[in-house]
Amino acid sequence: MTGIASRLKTRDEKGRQCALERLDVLDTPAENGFEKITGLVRTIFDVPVAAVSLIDKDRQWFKSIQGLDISETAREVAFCDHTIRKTDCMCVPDATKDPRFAKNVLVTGPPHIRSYLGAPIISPDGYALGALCAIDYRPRKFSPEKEKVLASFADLVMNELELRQLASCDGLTGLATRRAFVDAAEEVFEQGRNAAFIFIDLDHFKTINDANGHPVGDDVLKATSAALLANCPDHAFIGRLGGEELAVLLPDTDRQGAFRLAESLRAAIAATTVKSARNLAFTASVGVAMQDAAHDLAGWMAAADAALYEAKSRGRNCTVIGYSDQLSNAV
Amino acid sequence: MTKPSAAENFETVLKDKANKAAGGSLPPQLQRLTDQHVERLRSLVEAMRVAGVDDGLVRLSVRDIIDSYEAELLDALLRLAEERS
Repeated sequence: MTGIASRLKTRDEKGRQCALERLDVLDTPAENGFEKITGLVRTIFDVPVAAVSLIDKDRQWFKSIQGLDISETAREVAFCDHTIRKTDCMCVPDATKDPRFAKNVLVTGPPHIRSYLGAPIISPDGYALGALCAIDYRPRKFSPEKEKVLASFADLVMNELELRQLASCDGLTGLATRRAFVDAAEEVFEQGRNAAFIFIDLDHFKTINDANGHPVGDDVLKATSAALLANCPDHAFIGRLGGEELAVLLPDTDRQGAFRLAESLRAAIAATTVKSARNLAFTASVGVAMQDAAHDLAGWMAAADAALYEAKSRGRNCTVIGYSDQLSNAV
Repeated sequence: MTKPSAAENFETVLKDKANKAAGGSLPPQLQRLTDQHVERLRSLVEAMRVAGVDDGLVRLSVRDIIDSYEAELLDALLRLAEERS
């Protein structure tokens, strides 16, 4: 296992859950890289079942599972939920004799798990997101050397997760790409989560680029994304939609909460300076639309865009929240 | 001269495949992940040898992992290129 294990944050469940959600991997289809790894684990460990289990709030969901025809179980019965509390592998030679698992329904009933070896899958920021596991229907011990093999495979699983996430991140700012952001917005819209769409556009960005050069423009974008990351709650989703356009999805909020966050983001950006251009200051205009302003995602984004346009019209460096046909509350 | 095994030359193979997929050089963020992948693959090979895993199985594992990483890297590059266009 890597040195990351020594920085494992086992007591920060909320942060762990956020780290898992940032990967945007739950309930996605099977992918070859993960299937290859579980297939190899089955062969090398000579076990009937191998799985990549990710521990969600109330369930374990399998990104890959071979040898069992299930996609998830309740978290309370998940062996892997115990593994993520450890910095190294968890070995259960005989579940029927282990007080933690003897009465577990997966042991007393189908599939009648008897032995288990799991290695935590640890994110670069120290969260155990799930486990790679090998399961057998007979009692058996796994050697410490085999534990190291499984831990090495678990590190490769984390690499696979990082690679698939990277394709969804903007290279300059590290925020979600437009495509990833729109996917997330679509999901939030379908879930009907009383969400706000906060549209942010840097003021006079072309002038900043023309006067100071594109490297300074890049620094402005990086400083802006840092300000957004520092001031958004964990459950917000931030993206760069293109050029100097950024956006925040804020689920589970109301108009006042959405406006308050949007305004605090505008103020944070206005308070930011870029050292590479003699502490250059800059501002942004912000438009906000609540989800109930529209019948579909396109309408929601258009409503936020209309609010942003109004903010620009009112002289920039301000926040406007509105519905598609009704704007209010300018600062 | 003995031909190096897949397990021994995986670093060169993986980096060659990664650079070929990228058409020359990888974007920095993908380069970092590829370097990390090589390092972790090296640890896996070492762990498998210490655990006494059959050499044929070690070779099969390395080949499978390299092949699948190449495909995923190409997907990532295409998506990044799509975002920039």
